[in-house]
Amino acid sequence: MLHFKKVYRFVSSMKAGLILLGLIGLVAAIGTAIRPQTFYHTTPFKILLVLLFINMGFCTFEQIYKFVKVLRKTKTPNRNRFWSKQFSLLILHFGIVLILIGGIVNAYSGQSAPVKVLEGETIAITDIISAKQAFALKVNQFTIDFYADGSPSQYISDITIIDEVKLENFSVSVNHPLNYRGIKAYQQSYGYMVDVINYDGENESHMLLDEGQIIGFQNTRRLVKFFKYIPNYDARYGMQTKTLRPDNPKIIYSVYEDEQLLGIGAADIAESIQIDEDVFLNFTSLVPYTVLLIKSDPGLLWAGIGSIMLMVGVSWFWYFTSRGKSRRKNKINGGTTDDIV
Amino acid sequence: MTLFNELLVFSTLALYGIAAVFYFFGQSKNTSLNQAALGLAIVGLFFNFLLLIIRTAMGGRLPLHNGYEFVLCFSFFTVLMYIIYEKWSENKSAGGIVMLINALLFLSIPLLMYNQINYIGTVMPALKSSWLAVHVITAIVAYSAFALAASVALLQLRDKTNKNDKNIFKIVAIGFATLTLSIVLGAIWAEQAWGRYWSWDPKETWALITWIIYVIYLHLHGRKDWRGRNANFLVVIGFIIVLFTFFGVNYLLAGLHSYA
Repeated sequence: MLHFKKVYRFVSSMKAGLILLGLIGLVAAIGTAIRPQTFYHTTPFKILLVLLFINMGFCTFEQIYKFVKVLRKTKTPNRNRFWSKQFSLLILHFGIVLILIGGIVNAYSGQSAPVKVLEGETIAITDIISAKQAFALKVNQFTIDFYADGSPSQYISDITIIDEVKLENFSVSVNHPLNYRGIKAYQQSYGYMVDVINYDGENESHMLLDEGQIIGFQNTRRLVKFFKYIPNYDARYGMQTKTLRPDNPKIIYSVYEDEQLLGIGAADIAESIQIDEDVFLNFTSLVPYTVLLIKSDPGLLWAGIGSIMLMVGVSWFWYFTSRGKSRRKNKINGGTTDDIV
Repeated sequence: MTLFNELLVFSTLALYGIAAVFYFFGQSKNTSLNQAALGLAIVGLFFNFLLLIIRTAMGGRLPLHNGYEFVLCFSFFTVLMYIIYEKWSENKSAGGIVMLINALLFLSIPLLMYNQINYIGTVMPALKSSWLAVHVITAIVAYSAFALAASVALLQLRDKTNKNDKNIFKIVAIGFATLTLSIVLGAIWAEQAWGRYWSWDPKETWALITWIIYVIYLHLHGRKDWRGRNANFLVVIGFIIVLFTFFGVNYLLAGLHSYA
């Protein structure tokens, strides 16, 4: 029993908490040098965070216990001061504990996955993440707004939410995610596929190609790769686009025969290109797609409440330190009100 | 206008630099040299303010969008805070270090961001949010408070005293509260813009490390074995990490926060 008490006292101590924080800081610093983001998802790092949570949980619990005990005593000197200051520190710490709970809940039951949706396509939420809410999203249009100089000012996906009974239109753009029945959708990325027609003697066929995809023909051994779409082609910029605005759209393709590169070309949209004798190809149109990040995080509420408590607590704490005699000691409970936790 | 901007940058740099020299030679006694130093600092602050106004007029938005604008705000708030501190504490001894830090900050403009002085870029979609102002301003105030606290602490380390411990604590408290607000507000914004409130992005990680240093300071600064030397040392280390969080992360570690 004595051992248990000793262990508990250490685990819930400020000393242990500070050592843990210091370790987390040190390891996180090493992580930024090593770079790969997976570093922060390795087990040892997670263990450190969980230990911090345990320490702060116990520590805050002790604080609440002491706080209530002192409040019950009627003869506390400087009662109001003590009350306010300790309370601000209490909600500050409690806020951090809630944020950590939010993180743990997210780690266990949070889901997020990007999904590529072509204009006109509909996706079911349950195909992307496991959710109780069975609604679907249809992407009507993806647009990019531009500034005068051709740099992008906003990426917008116009979508329709298809629920059991109703339809609802919504614009998802950067900084303006969709939040529908606990599921969020973010504008994360975008791209273009290209619609191709090939004439192959008397046959004509349609295909939708993604960047990097290769198309073959019947009457020739030659292959064509849709290499890249460049919205504002300028030879001086090479394979980079000058701006994202489609001022001079070109489709870069490459032609191969027996795994030998025959050449690279830049085609206009709907331009007919001869690949071989009697073999023609036409990149008729671009089909934009949007990439939405679909997310559900049941821990968000915890983290949200925690972050509000942390902000209130820290502002309140600062208010006290900024007022004159913040360092006066009150002898309570053998300790001092000055010690932060 | 372009020449005027550059001239203003170099004048501010010179004013801050000369103010630092005057403060150092004034030796914190109430001499005319110190008076002159304060005067130079105030003129420098005015020039700094002019640069911010020009920037606001040029861009038609708050100057909080890239490294150059950040440095302008950072040094503006640091000098402003120092002048208030000098009046409030009636203590001029930290003036030399504070103004030296500011001169060095300003020196980073011609060294690292010269091309930004006359260039106003467009605002990328991710930055088009009302969270930007509160997130960046709180960060700047925090950085400035830490700069001031570190200057006072450095001086105490040199003089081997701890008579300004209370003042350092109060300044750190401002910095800590605003840094906490900045991190939390940034997290709320990140949740909206990127879909994650914490991504272990280098800037986030180093801001957290800064925060941890000051957490340790706040928990230990009043203890007998930490009071004075060790506590002051932490405050100085904290500011070095602040500088790394700003310059190091911007120029060495690419991430979501790469706007320089």
